[in-house]
Amino acid sequence: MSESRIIQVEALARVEGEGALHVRLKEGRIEELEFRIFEPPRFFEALLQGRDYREAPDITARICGICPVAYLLGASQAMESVLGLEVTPQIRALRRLIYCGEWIQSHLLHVFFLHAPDFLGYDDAIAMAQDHPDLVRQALALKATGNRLLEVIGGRAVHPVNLKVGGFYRAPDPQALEGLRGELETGLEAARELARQVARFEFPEVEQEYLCVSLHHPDEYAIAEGRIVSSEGLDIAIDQFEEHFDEAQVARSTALHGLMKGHDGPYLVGPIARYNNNFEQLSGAAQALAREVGLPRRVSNPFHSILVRMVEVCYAFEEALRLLDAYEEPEPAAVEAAVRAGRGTGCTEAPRGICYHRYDLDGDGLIGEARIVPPTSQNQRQMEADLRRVVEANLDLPDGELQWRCEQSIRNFDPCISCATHFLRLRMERG
Amino acid sequence: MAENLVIGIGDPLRGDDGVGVAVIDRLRRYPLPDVRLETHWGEGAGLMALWRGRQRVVLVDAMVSGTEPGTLRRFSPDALPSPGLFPYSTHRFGLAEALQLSAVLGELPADLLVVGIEGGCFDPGRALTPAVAEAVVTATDAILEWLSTAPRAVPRSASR
Repeated sequence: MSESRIIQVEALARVEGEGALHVRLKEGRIEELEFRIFEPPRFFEALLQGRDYREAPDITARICGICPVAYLLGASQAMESVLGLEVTPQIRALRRLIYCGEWIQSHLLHVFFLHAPDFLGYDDAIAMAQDHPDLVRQALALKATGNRLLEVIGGRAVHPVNLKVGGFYRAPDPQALEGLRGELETGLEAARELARQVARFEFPEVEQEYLCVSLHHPDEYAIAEGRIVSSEGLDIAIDQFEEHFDEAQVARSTALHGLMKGHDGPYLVGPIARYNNNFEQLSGAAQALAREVGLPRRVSNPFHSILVRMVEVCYAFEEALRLLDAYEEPEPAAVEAAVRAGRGTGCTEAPRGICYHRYDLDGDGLIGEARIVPPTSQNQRQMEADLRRVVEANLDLPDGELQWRCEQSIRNFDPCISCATHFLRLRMERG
Repeated sequence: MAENLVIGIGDPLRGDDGVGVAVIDRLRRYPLPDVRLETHWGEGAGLMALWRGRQRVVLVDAMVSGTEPGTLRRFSPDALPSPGLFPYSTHRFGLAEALQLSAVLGELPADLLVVGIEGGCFDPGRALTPAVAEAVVTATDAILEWLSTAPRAVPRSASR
């Protein structure tokens, strides 16, 4: 093939935020490949300066309507580390429970409304629903259960209002919490069935050697706490993150590109990274489900990400039930400590991967410098590496199909461009 | 008689985005024993859960179509709004998308009125712009009139 081919997607659909894809091929080789993020930057770190430390969780939660708990908890933990605050086991358990709700609703939105149409050959979920109404109905019902967890514990499903530095403003109504049990039990079974249906999708065959970075906790599948580990043996405390990771500005993106210091290649955060690093911490049932749906112990096909998300959804349902069984009302609902100056860090597993926070506080508890490193910025280099692999493996496809495969490949990462640019307002600028 | 449901959609802290909620506030002045009034922030799946299983529903939301602020448009099950007309978030699963998905799944209320009010300014903390505030009165009257008429006859196509 000697002619030039250009695959261009001006405004990607079915991703969160504003991004574009540009691929130029010449004589069967990739000349140029860029995943562009063109949302204007949002400058959240700057607007936090001078604000009281107690405001950081609610302000940063506004970065994302899909993963607010990741911001609420990351910011809270960072402040707690400055103040030397240790939350009680009851508060810790309740935080993990609400985080399960976030994983459930975020993953189901992505799997069935944004990503599944790629696998089944539809332009969007509405078209898909015409032929697969039960799939969509079931996904909506399960997503609603995730939202209800957020509502009962957090006060509302989007940007919950009940979380604060040190814990919660008040403990949830025990009856409302208990009222979720039936829904979670049927939800777990339904989620397993959905995972089996996703396993019947057709998965393009691509292999990628990933450097997987995630939290790791010896006793549980890491969600809200742990050490930062990599599949190549890195094992650091959260406050060492900036010694090992950095961000670089590139012209084609208003979001910084994450990189690991002393490492040329990209790294991966998110479901596949978590699964590869923490498979042993999954429950027995979740491990069995992973095997049943055909996932290897180490996932190297990026298109398997949708299956890993479904395994995590099932795990989150199971874990929510376990936490409900063991539930003890936190009393008090939050712990407190005197303000002091210092630097604090926090990091949790947002649905899309690790989200790192660091704040400096002065003696009055006012924020000085702030830094937030969300998962999508960290994944940008890996996204481009995956695209390169996908394009190389599919050069014989006509342009339309190749573009389809590229978009499907970007959605493997469930990118949240709004998080990556911390951008607040939507403005469509179609070229 | 089936209970009527009116949902006002939007965020009162975002200027004209609050127009749907303002209509609900105005409807509260009237004795409407058979009408349930709700407000919602506009996320599609949550909206679908609210109207699922309901027969007679009114939805009112701010609209961005490029016309004059305060312009009123009415939609029905036979002429649903096109995607993107009621922007909610970058995930683009707002009112218009939820209505279309409901239609596909056969979950659309048989008797449905959607009222769109063109917004002018969506800045945080702003009051409704004057033209949009006027449209609150017009929209409320239109909804009251619609509620006072008998439910649409089934089959749908026979009633218009």
